[in-house]
Amino acid sequence: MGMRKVAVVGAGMTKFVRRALETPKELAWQASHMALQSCELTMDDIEAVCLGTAPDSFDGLHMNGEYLSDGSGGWNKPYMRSYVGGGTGVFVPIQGWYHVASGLFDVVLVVAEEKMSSFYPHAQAAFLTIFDHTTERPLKPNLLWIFALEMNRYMTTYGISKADIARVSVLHKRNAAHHPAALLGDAEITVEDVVGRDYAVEIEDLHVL
Amino acid sequence: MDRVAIAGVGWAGYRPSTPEVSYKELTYEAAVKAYADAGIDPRRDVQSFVTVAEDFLEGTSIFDEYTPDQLGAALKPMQTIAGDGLHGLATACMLVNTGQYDMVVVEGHSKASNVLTLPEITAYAQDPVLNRPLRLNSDFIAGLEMNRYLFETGTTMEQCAQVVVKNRRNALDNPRAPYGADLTIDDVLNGATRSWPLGEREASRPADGAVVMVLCSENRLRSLACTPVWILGIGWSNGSPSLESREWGELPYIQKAARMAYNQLGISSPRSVVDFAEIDDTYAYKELQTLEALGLCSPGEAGILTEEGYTAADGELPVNVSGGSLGMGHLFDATGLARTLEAVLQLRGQAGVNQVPEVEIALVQSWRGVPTTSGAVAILGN
Repeated sequence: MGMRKVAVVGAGMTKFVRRALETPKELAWQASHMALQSCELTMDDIEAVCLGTAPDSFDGLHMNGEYLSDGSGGWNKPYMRSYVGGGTGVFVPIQGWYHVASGLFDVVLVVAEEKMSSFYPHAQAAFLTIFDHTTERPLKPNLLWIFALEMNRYMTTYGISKADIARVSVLHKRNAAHHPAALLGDAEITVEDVVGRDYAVEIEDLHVL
Repeated sequence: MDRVAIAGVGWAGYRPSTPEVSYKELTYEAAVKAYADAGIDPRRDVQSFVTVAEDFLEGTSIFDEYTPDQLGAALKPMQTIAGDGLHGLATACMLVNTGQYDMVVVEGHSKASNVLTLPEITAYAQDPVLNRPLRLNSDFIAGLEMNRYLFETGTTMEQCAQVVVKNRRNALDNPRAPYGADLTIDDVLNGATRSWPLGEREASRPADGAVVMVLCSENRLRSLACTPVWILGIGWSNGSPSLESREWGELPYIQKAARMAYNQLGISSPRSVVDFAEIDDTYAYKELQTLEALGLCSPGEAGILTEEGYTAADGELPVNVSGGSLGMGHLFDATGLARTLEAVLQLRGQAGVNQVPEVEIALVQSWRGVPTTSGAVAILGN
């Protein structure tokens, strides 16, 4: 018997903003509601809910999945949160896939949520706690540094210039200018704009992308 | 869904403190034992890995990045489930049933002795807008729930204390349990109060430990030389996360999770099928409340049955023969796996002094603790 095929039948997405006034629950509810509306289903049709969110320090909540459960529709239903670091947003549809492909459920709701602005003074500080507490954290590394190290190594190994990489920023920011949910779209941005910006901002933009 | 085999089990601990090892070393020890038990090589044979963990208890954000090494899972599919060990087992069952994976490993651990501020951490699980400003201690919520449960069912504080006496006595015969004790009901009731009516001795204490399990399909099992225990049914459910709108006397999410598991076996009367149970006793009253939610007795009956010895190790339905969390210690999200381990050893006839004779069907249940309404239920058979 072949594997059970699984279809995506509806989707919803809130607008990405720098400081959302909604609570994490409300953001999850908005996206869930939009997804259900888009395929004319209600929560009565949903048999299980899969949630992706990581890490807890962004939302400032221990067991953030439990807090988000009712906002995500996970009330009185099988509900489970998965996370795989920065890949969580892509992974949680996989979680939805195996819920259905296993034959245990026919219709599931997949929700991904992140509210980074809850972290003061800046979400970047939450990344200070991602490093190994014994071997790395005493060195006080920063997420931007490790990206810069990797970028440097990649550029050196393959002879790639900063302008080559800047073209990715230009491509994506121009695409985002026409995306209704995007925060950082810029239809007029050029390679010179990206290369000419100071390093910290450039690297931060790279992270946001 | 097809049944899935537990082909190998391994554990390390459990102890109140393990200063000589890191969480990675603790997990490694459990993993090595589980792989030897199943007779497999993780790098060659296992196709997917699942860890159950929560960032704040680990003290590391994006903790899922730290899970592959100690399991032999580098460069393999690996995911973290922010749930109890039973949620991890459910995930493995689904992965096997997709047909894409025929062997999956599930891991859970607790390095509770690293956590210096547990009350503050659990308080951070409360709603930040509505509840956290009230500065509620998590055990205060358990006290409220216990009070409501006693009020609604007529269960007595003596009956709750009997759970402590039973489980900690059972733990004396379990080599994995560090909190065994020979107590009386008066010892329990005359102890300090945690959050009235919840007594200090009615709350489980944390422990360090790790549990690893190897799960596989029926087809894959044929090429292994091991003693399997089958996961015959598994269910999980969430209730209301809100303190303001939840049921306080009952556990509808456990009822729902149990029904999901029972339906997979076609069970309508669990009491006539289940030979023994390993269930939540994070707080003593939870064992009684849970027995009723699972349909193993009527509402308000669990306390009376416990007093009469029905749930004792030599009773008609032995409950927490292992000593439970009161006797083995609370292993955070590894708790469901630790209880599954005890059920596996019982069903294999390898439980030693604690062995219950002639058992075929076990029920395992877990709860994720205050302030959650998240639980899971598994039915195992040999």
